[in-house]
Amino acid sequence: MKLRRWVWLVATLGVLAEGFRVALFVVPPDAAQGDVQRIFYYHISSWAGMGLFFTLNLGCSLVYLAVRNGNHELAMKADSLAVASAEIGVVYCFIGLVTGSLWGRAVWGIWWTWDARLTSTLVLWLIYVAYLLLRRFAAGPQMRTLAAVMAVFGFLDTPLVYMSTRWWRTQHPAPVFGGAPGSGLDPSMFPAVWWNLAGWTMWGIFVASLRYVSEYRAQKAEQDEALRALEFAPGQQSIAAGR
Amino acid sequence: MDMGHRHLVIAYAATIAIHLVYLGYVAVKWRVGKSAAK
Repeated sequence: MKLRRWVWLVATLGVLAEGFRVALFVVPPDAAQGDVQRIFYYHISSWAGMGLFFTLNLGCSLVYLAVRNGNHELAMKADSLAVASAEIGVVYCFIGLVTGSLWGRAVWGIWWTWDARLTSTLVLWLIYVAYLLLRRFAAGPQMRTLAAVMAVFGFLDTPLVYMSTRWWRTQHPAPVFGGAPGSGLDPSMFPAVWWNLAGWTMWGIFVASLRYVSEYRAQKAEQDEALRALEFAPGQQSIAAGR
Repeated sequence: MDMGHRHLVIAYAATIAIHLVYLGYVAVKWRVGKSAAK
C-alpha cells in the first residue's frame, strides 16, 4: 500500500476517533429522546455515504456505457470504480437500516414499519444487492453492460428515498436538514454531525480506493489472459497482433 | 443499562463491526488481485 494511503488512513482514523468522542461525550443529549438520539450521528453519516457512493456508481456506469466500445482502458477503470462504489454503498445502506432499526425500537417501540421511507430504502438496498449478485454470477461479455444499465435504473430509487418523507406521511421523522420551518438540529449538536460525516466519508473513500485497485487489477489480469489465449489460438494470430 | 443506552452501544458497535467485516473482504480481494497481477 502506498504512503499516501497510509497517511489518508491515519487521518481518517483520527477524524473518526474525534467524531466518536464528540458524539458520545461532548454534544448534549437530545431533550426529548436522551442519549439514544446519539445514534443519529452514525445513522446520518451512513446515509450520506450511501448517497455519495450510489451517485458515484451511477456516474461510472454512465461513463462505462458511453465509452465501452471506444476506450477500453477508461471503460475498465469506470467499471472497476462502479463495483467499488456499489459495494461500499450497500455497506452504508445496510448500516443505515440496522442503526435506524435499533433507534426505532428504542424510540417508537418497534423494529420496523412498512412506511414509505423504510420500504423504499429496503428496496434500494435490494436493488444494489441484486446488482452485485448479477456481477458475481452472470457470465459472458454482456454482463458489465447489463450491470451498468441496471445501475442506471436502480439509481432512480435514490431520489425517491430522499423525498419520501416530504411526499408522504411516514413513521420516520420529517427531514432534519432542509425540512419545514423550525426543523433542524440545535447548533450545539453540529460538531458531532460534521466530524462523523467527514470521518465516515473519508473511510468510504479509503476502502473504495482499495477495492477499486483490486478490481482493476483483476479485470486487467482477466483481459491479459484472454488476449494471451487469443494469441495461441490457431488462426487467430492476425487478430491478436492487431491489438 | 436501559434500552436506550443498550441500543446506542449496539448501534455504534454494529457500525464499526460491519465496516471491519467489509474491510476484511476488501483485504482478501486486494491480495487476490495483487497475486493475479503478477
